[in-house]
Amino acid sequence: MNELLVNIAGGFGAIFSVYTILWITFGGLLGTIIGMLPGLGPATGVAILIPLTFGMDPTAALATMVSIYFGAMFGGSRSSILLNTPGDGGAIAATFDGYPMARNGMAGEALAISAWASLIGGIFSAVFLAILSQPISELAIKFGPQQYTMLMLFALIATTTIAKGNMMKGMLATFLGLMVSTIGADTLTGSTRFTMGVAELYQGIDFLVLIIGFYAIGEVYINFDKLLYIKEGERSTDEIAVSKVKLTKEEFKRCLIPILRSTPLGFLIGVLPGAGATIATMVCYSTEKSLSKNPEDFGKGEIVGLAVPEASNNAAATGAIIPMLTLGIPGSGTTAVMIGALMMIGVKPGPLFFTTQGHIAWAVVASMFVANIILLIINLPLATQLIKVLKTPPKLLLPCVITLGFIGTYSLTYSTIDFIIIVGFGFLGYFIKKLDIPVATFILAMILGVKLETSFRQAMLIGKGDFGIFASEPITIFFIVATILSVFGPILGNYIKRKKTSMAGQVS
Amino acid sequence: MTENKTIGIAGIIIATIYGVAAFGLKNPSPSLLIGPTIFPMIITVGTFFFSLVLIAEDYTKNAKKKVIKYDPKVLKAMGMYTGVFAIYILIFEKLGFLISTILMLTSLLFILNKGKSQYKINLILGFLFPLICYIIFAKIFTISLPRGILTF
Repeated sequence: MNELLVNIAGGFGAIFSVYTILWITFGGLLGTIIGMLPGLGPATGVAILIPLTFGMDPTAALATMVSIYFGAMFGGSRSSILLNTPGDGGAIAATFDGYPMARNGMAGEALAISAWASLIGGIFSAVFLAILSQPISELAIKFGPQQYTMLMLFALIATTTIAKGNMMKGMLATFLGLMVSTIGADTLTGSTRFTMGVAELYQGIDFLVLIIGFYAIGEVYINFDKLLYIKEGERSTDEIAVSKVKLTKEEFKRCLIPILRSTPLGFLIGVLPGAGATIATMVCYSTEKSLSKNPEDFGKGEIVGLAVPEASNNAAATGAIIPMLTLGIPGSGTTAVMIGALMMIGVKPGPLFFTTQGHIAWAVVASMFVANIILLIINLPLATQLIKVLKTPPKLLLPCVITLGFIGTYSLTYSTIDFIIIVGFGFLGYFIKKLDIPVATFILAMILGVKLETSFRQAMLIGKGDFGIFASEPITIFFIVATILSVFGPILGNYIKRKKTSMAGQVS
Repeated sequence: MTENKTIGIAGIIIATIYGVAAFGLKNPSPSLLIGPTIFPMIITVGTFFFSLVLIAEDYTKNAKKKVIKYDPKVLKAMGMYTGVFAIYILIFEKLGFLISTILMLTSLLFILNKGKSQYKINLILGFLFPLICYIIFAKIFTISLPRGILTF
C-alpha cells in the first residue's frame, strides 16, 4: 500500500508543472469541444489531435492525450443531452433521460449532474486502476509467447462476440484486419510481404494513418447521408436554452448511491476487451432501473437515469486503459488510437511499462485524477459558453476535420503516399460502416496482428510444431475456456431468453 | 443484392487475391519450421470460411435479408471529394501546404455547403482555417509542412 502511495505521489510530482497542467487544461478543452460535435467521438478526437503532442516530453504528451480522451467523453454527453445526438456509443445511454430532462426545462441540472457523475466515476475508477495496474503487470511479466497468443486470441474473439452486431461479420472483419497487419516486412525473418514493390510499405501500414482514414474521412462520408439533405439555412437539430448549470443538494444526494454503485460495474466491464463504454452504460442503466423504486420514470427525464450512464461511461473508459497499459493490448477503438500515439512518442506499453517506464506510467494515472478535476472546473462555469460549439453546422465542420486528418497524417510520416492510404481507408471505412461490419474489430485485429503472428510462431517454435503448447499451462487453458465462453455465452443467453419469453407467452 | 451476399462475395474476392499472393511468398529458409507464409495461409482460409458462412446465412430459415441501397447523391459527393483529394495529393508538395490546402478545403466546402448565401463563409473559412492550422502546426509546433512556392 505504501509503495502504491509513493508511486502515485511520484506520478503527481511528474505532472505538477505549469507547462503540463496548462496542456491538460487545453487538451481537456479541445477534447470537450471535439466530443461535443455530433458524429465525432473520443477516437476521432485523439486521432486528429495527436500532432499537438509532437515535440512534448512523453509525460506531458500522455497527460494531454488522457485529458483529450476524457474531455471528449465529457463533450459527447453534452450533445447527447442537448441535441439527442451522441458523439459515440458510450454517450447513447445519456440520451435516454438527459434529452428528456433538457426538453423539460432542466438542461442546466442535466449538464451539472453529468459533470459531477463523470467526475466521481472518473476519480473512483482511477483509484481502481492505480490499485490493479501493478498486480496485472506482474502477472503479465510471466507470460511467454503461448500465453500471449491465447490472450490476444481471446481479446480478438471477445471483441467480435461481446461487441454489438453480427458475430460472423465480426469474425470476417477480424480476418480482414489481420490481413492488413501482414503487409510489410516479416518481424521474424525480415522478408517482405504484400508490399507490391512500394518502399513506403516495407514498414507496414501505420495504424494511425489507417485510423485517421477510417474516422476522419470515413465518418464524413457516412454523414453525407444526412448532410446532403439539409437545406440552405435549415438547422438539423432543435436548440435548447440553458440557464444556470447547478444542482440542488437533494438531487445530488439522490444520485450519489447509484453513481457509486455503477462505477465499479462500469469499470469492470470496461476492462473486458471489446465490451467498452457502450455495453457498460447500457448494463448499468438497466441495472439501476431494475433497482429503482420508480422505474417508470426512467426514459422520461429521471436524473438518476442520466447520472448512472455518465459515471459508468467514465469508469469504463478508465477500465479500458488497464489492458492497454499493462498488456499492450487495446480493448477499444479509442485505446487503439492511444496505443498508436504512445508508440509514436517512444512509449511502449506492456507488462514492463510500470517497471521500466514507471515514472511515465504513474504520471498517466495521476493525470487521470487531474484531468477529471480540471474538466469539472472547465465544464461547470463554461458550460453555457462551450455549448455554443453545438451550433457549428456540420457542413462547415467536417471538411475542417478532414484537413486536420491530412495534417495529422503528414506529420506522422512526411509522405504523401499515406494520403492515398487514408483516402482508400476512408472509402473502406464508409463501406464497412454502411454494411454494419464492426469497425473496432477490424482495427483491433490490424493492431494486434503483428504481435499475434510473432507470438504464435515463437510459441510453435518452442513447442517444435506441436499445437499442444497452447493448452499446456493453466493460464492458457483459462484463456481457451474464456474464449469458448465468450463465443457460446451470448448464444446460450439468447437461447434462454427466447425460451423464457416463449414459456411466458404460453402461460399467459 | 443482400448485405450478407455483398460482404461474402467481396470477402471471397479479397481472400482469392490475398491467397494467390500468399502462395507466391517464399520461405527464406527451408529449415524454418514456421515461416512467414503460415499466418497468411491461415488468414486466407479464415476469410474464405466466414465469407461463405455469411452467404450461407441468407439461406437459413430465419434469415433477415437486409438489402443495401446506395444513394446516388451520396456516391456523387464521394466521387467529387475523391477527385479533390486526388488533385490535393498531386499538388501538395509542389504548391505547398498552405495554397494546396486552401484550394482543397474551399472546394470541399463548396461541394457540401451549397447555396448562394453560403459562398462568403465558404471562402472565408477555406482561407482562414488552413492559415490558422499552418501557424499552429508549422510555426508554433514546428511540424515540417511543405512551403512549396511560398517563401514563409
